[in-house]
Amino acid sequence: MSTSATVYVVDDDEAVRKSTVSLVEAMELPVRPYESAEDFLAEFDNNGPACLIVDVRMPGMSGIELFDILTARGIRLPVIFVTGHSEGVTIPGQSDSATTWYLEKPFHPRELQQQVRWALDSYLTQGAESSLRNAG
Amino acid sequence: MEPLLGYDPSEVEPSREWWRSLVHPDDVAIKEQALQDHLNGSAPIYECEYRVRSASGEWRWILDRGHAVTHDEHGRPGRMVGTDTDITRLKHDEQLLHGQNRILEAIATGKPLSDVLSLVIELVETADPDAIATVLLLNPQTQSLHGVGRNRLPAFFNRAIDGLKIGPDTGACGTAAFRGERVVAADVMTHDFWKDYRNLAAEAGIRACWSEPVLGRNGQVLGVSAIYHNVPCEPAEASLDIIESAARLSAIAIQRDQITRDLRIRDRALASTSNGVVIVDALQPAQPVIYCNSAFERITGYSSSDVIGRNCRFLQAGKSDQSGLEEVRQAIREQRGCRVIIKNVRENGEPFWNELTISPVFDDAGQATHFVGIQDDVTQRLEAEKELITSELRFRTLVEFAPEAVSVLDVETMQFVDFNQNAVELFGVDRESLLTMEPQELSPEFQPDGQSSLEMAAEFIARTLAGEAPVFEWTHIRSDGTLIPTEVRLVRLPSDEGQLIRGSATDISERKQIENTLRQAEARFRDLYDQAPDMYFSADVGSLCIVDCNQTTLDKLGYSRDQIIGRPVTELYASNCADQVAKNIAEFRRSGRVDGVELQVLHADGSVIDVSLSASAIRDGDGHVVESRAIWRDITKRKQAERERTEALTRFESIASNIPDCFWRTRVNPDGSYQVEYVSPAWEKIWGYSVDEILSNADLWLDVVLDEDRSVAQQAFEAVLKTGERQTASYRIRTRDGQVRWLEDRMSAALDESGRVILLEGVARDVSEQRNAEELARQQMEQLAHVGRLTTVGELATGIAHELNQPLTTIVNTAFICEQNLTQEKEFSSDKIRKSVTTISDQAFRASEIIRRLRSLVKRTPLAVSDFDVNRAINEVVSLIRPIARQNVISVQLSLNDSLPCIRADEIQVQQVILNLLKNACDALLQAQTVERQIVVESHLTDTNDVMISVSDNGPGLPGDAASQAFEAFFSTKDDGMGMGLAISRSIIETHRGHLWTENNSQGGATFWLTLPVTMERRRRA
Repeated sequence: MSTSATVYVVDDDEAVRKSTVSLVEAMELPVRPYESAEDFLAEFDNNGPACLIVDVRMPGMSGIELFDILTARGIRLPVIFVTGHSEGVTIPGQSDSATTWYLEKPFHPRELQQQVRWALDSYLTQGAESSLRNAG
Repeated sequence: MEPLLGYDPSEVEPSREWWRSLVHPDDVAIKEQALQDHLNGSAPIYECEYRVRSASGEWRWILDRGHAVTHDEHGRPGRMVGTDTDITRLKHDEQLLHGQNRILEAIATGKPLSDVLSLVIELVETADPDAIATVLLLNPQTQSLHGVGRNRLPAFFNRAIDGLKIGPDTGACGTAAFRGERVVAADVMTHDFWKDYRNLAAEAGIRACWSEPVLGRNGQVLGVSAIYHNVPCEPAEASLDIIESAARLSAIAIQRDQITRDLRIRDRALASTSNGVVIVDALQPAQPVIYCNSAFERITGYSSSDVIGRNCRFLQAGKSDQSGLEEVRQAIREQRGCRVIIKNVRENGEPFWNELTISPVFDDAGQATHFVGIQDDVTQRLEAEKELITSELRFRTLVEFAPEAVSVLDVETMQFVDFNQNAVELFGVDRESLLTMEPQELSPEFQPDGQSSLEMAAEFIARTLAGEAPVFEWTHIRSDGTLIPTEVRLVRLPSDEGQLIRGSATDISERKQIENTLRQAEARFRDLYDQAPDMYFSADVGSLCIVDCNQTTLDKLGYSRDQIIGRPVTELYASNCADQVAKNIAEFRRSGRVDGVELQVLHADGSVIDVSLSASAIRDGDGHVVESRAIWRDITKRKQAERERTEALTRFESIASNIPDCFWRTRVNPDGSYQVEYVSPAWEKIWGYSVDEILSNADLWLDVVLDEDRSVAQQAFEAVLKTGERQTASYRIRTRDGQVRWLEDRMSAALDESGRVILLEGVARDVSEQRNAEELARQQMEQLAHVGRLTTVGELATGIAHELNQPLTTIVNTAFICEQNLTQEKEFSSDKIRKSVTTISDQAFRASEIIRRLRSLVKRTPLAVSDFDVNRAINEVVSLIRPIARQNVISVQLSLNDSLPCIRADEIQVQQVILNLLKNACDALLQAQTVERQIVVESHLTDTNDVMISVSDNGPGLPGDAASQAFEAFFSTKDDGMGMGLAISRSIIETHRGHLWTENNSQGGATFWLTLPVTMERRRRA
């Protein structure tokens, strides 16, 4: 696992965001917290491996909208959706460019850490596969 | 003295005794008495007249006068001296005069003629004592003489000459009467006139006869006066005087007797006449009645003593203006006769018709001295004449206009002998043909009752002949075969020729037709009367007993006719209307009418029938009410319907008064105007105006509609008015206190039988809450959209779950890191750990808070409604908040109205709301810089009977438009607020039909108000 991979955390709830950041820091991964999707998009430069932990329900742009934008932009970024309640919300499945994961609050912190790892792995795998496919 | 008497002096004896012997024996006592009177001194002189016999044997009258010249010692007379005077001639004349006076007196006193003439004879014979006097009366019709009065001739002589015819030579008397001049037969034996009577005269010893005719005023011969002597002699001059005097006296007596006789006859005539006669003295100014006869007394009723001396005017008795009277007055003025018919009045006041004939009586100078009035009471005659005229007229009218057909039948031959014109017209056959017809040809064979005409006719004819005058109906037949109903009278005519019956027939077709019509009408009326739906009856006004009633009355009341007739009508009324009945009876007796008075009568089985009574009076000729005709109309069903309607209305109004919707009813007048008749009490609740205000001013309804909604409301109203179809209008009004309310007004119309809209009714519902809720929901939806398009309550729950998961996630995360750090024994400062634990506890608190709120939300249904004391509930909540408040140096003050009623609501929910408000206030104060943090909780009773609770703080208040947004879900001014508290609170309060709102107060803080209706439970049920 490359240590250079960055974990972006987007959650409007400060307490949740901070605790999530702490979880990721505990994995000794660099973390970049954002209060909103808009803030994230404004800063995100897509250079290097990364994954995104995003709250589905937020004031302003929701996590799903953010995902849609990223997909639309062709950004290959694994996304872990975190939601307070699954009812009525359709979590996008795997896209061509990105793998998605889904966590329902409250989640077990290990589960999040696991998914972060999987996400970063998938980023690398997908990147290799993509490279292979492109080479192929 | 002696020469005086012719005595030879030798014969004279100078003695008293001799003298006395010459004195007439009748006079001796007189002479002696006179002498005695003088001698005893009672007469100063002696004076006496007496008769003495002369020498020739004649009696001569002597006036003997003397007085005493000597007296004796006692004063008694002695010698007397005196004179004797021969007063024979004087005495003779005196006697004659005396006799004449007696005769005149006898005449004047009305002595019978024979008595008077006897006195005449006596007078003559007194004057000439040797003569025999007679008076004979001439009967002018027979021209014969008849002796009257007593004479001294022999009876045979009187008989012989009685009835002696006068003539030129029939004795002295007959000739004197014939010639009207005196005849003197100095010797009847030689006188020519006596040649036929000499033997008679000789036998009677008569030798001389002097006859003097008795002549009337006009020289007519009335009779003769005769003097006979038994020696031949010529009358001396004195004798002639006597004869003439006797003739004159006789004439007076005879004429007077004739007049008296005439008067007596006239008197009798007057007395016996049926005409009234009065004689009036025309010379006296007053023209008094001086005579009236008995017929006058009988006619007028006045007695002659009433009448004599009075003017005849009293008969007029005030009726003085008659034209006849004027004629009478004029006749009297002009002294002529007249005849008039005037109306007079009898003594007893009864008027009568007087045919008055007036004739004047003139004296010799042509002056009317008297008027004779003859009264003929013609009253009966006039009345009879009038009666006659009237009856004649009547008779003529009857005959001329009578519709009777008259026929005369000879029963013996059974042939008609006469017909009148009406009969010709009745039977349609000319008179000649009728006379040849058989009686049965004029009648059908059978009468309508089936009897044989012939037999019946025979019976009626027999009855008529027996003296009856039968009247009967009979059907005749005309020549053209039509039947004519007639009324026939038969009467037997008095006749010498056989037995005649007169029949008069009157065509009664019309009458029969009218009778039939009447009978049918009566039957129809009777049917109507009996079958009328109403009860008809008549009652006697005095006894109030029922006299008659129709079948309906019997059927409705369940009585038989016998049970009800004669029964006082008062007994038929229910006892509870006795007062009203008494009032009606009094009113009826006064005015004769009763109209539509509602009463109750009793059925025979005791059940009550509502009736409407109308009665009118039957009056007698004097206008007194004697009977009442009355109608009872059975209005039981109507009354029942009315009662039901009243009950329904009462029920409706009691319902209407208890529900928040406003029921209204507007009366539409024929002219298009309208007024509000009814609004339920909710009107005041919704509009804020009083019921009276809208009832008195229907326009108020439209006036308070907001300008922008007015046309909507008006159009709906007019559409119902015009089409009668149901309309619903939603519009906003501004209430009296300025609030805007949404109304949903459902209007419908009631039509009369002609289809005209007469009533508009409707229900106006205050849908402000619903509208507001709708508005709220709309806003909530917008509100919810920005947190995830949560549009349902379910999604709200999702939102809440999300909220809850946030702190849980944080807790889990923080705890995990903490645990990992501790487990991995990495450098993990205690400061870091403490920070993590604080986070965990904060987040756990936050989670529990959310759960608590969630629980509140879940607990919203069902409501646990009960009655409770608001102040107690407030106190409980305040005691919960006090520890927190005290901790935060906040004072909580209560200002509660002690007289609040209990309210009916979910106590826990209400307490939650209050707690929430208190909590909010605490939170607000914690953010404030206020020195003395204070919360005031108050309770009030509003004038609309709602309980109002306010929670005020002196915190910072709500910024800007936060007051209006405070109740939106997820709105919060607090850092950790979720924005659910107030939204839920308002939802709770509104579920209870209350209101919750907020505004900043004068202390700069916020005040939350909530109201709860006291009658919530009743409202909900309604």
